[in-house]
Amino acid sequence: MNTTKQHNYSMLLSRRRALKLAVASVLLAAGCATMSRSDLDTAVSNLNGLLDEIADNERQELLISIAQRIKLRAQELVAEHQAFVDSFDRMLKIYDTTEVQLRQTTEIYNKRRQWLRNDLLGLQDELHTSMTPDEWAKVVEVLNQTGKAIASYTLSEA
Amino acid sequence: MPVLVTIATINFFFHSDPEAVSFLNPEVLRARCMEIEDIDKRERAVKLTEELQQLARQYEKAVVATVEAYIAESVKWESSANGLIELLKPWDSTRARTLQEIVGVRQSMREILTVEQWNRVFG
Repeated sequence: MNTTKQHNYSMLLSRRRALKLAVASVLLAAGCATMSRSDLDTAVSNLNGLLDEIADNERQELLISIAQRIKLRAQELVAEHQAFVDSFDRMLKIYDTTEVQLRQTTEIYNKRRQWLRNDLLGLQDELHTSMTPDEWAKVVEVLNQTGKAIASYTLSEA
Repeated sequence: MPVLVTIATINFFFHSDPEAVSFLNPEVLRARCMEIEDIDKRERAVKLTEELQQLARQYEKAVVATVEAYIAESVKWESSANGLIELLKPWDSTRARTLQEIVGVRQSMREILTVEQWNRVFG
């Protein structure tokens, strides 16, 4: 393979990886929206596979371990949200539930959700700093497109 | 990272049964309130379900704004967790406030309906 072909092949592989990452993000969002744990598990497994592909051997172990922690924390966040919605919904419908009980429930949930979310953002930092700027730049364009698609879908569903 | 787009998107209200009557499902609740016999109470209850619909939209718009703000900042190489946390604070506040407003609407509904009417709507 000559140099030009090698370069093109490398670019194609990078593009494919970026697209697959975007697909993984969509799957994750969809999985969460429908509350399917199996969808989430599948998407996270796909992500692990992608990280395995995108990284060199020296960084693979680190990236996979960060992704594993992201997976656990994301599952926890999803489970807590579902538990809150179920509980909040049930309490709202019970005539004897007091306003104080409802306000306490929402306050506890808000604090917990933000704590878990912020912890995930910390893990994002770890993952971010473990990647090269070049790897990061390759996913930015697709990330933007994915985010816009999710936002559009959400608004049309509202 | 794309995977973390999910952080902002998972906080919609979602239900195992979309047909169930619920304060988090204003359309179904509105239909049930339309069955209240007392005309004055029916009108007031239906009006409250319309407020719930507005609150649901407010919550979802805050989630979407969170997604957009999150992505716009995350794609920058220099973005940080602390910067993102600070950036998302206003939308966190909106979502928290919306939940409290739903509680307020529920209290108004409770003041309108008798126990029997309440149980017929939510039973």
